Amino acid sequence: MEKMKVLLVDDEKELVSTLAKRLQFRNIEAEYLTNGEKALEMVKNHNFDLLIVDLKMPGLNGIEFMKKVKEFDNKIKFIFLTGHSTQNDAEKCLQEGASDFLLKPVSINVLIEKMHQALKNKG
Amino acid sequence: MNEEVLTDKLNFFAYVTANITHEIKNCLAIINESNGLMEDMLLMAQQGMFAPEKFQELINQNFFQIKRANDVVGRLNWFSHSIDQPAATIESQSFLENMIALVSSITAPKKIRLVISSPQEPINWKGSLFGLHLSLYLTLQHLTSLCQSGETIKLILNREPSGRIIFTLTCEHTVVLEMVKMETHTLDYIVEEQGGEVQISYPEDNTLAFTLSFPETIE
Repeated sequence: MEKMKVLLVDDEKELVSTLAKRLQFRNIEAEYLTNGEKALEMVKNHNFDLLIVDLKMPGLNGIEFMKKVKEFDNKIKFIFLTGHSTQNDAEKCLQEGASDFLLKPVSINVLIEKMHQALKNKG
Repeated sequence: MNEEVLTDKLNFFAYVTANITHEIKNCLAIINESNGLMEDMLLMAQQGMFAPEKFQELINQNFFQIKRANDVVGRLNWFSHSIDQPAATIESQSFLENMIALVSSITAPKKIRLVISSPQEPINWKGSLFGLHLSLYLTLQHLTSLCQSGETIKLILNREPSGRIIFTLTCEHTVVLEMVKMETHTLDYIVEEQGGEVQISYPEDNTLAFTLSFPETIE
C-alpha cells in the first residue's frame, strides 16, 4: 500500500515540525512549511494527497491558499487545523471545499482518522 | 457615547480576546504534540532506540510554550485591568511592547512591517491606558486598510517640550484626505475623550500621517 503523502502548513513552526514527526512515525510521508506562498510552490511540484492547513497565517490565509491550489488541482484534499473556533469559519472552509475543520489541540488518532476519511472520497 | 463608538469599543475587546485565545490555543497545541512525540519516543525506547537529546529538546520546547502562554495571559490581564484606571501612569517602553504584542495581528495578514521609534529614555505620563490602546488600534486599522501588502507603517512616539505626548503613525499612501477623515469618527471621539486630538495630513509626498496628541496628565 502506498504511503499517504501530506503537507502541513502553519506559521507555528514548532507545531508543524513536531506533528510531521509524529505522522512520520505512523508511516505517513509528512512535510511541513510555515507560509502559504512557499507551500503553493511546493504543492505545484509535488504530488500530495492531502494538505493540513491553518486558517490564519500571515500573507496568504488558509482559505485563499486552498482556492489557489484548487485552481490547478481539484482532487487534492484539505483539512483545516486551527485555533480559530467560530462556526462561520468552519462553515466557510467546508463550503469552499475542505474535507474537515479541526480545532487545536487535536488528538493524533482523531487527525489520522479524519485524514483517512478525507482520502476515501478522493476521486 | 453613540452606538458606533460603543460597538467599536466592544469590537476592540473582542479582537484582543480572540487573538489571545488563538495564541494560547497554539501554545497548547504545541505542548500537546511535544508530549505526543515524547510518548512515541518512549515506545521506541522500549525497542532499544532512545535519543535523550531529542527528548530534552521537546521538554525545552514545552517549557518555552508554557512561558509564552504565561506571557500571553499576563498581557490579557494587563489589558483587562487597563479599563479600571481612567488615569494610569503609563511608561512608554512597557506600553509599546504590550501594545505591539496585542495588535500585531492587524498588520500580520498583509505582512505589513511595523517600525517603532521612541526616545531611548522611557517617558512617563498619566492617561487612559484603555483609551490609548484603542486609539492606536483604530489608527493601525485605518492605515493597514490603506496599505499595500508588504509595506511599512512607522510609529514614532515623542514628548513635545510642552509635555504633550505625540504618536505619529505614517504609511505610504495617496488617498484623498477627505475620504480618510470621513472614516475616523470613532477615533476622533476616543482621542478627544482623553483630552487629545487627531490630525491627518500628508507631511511628504505619498506619505499619509495620523498624529495623535495627548495631554501629559488626564483629569
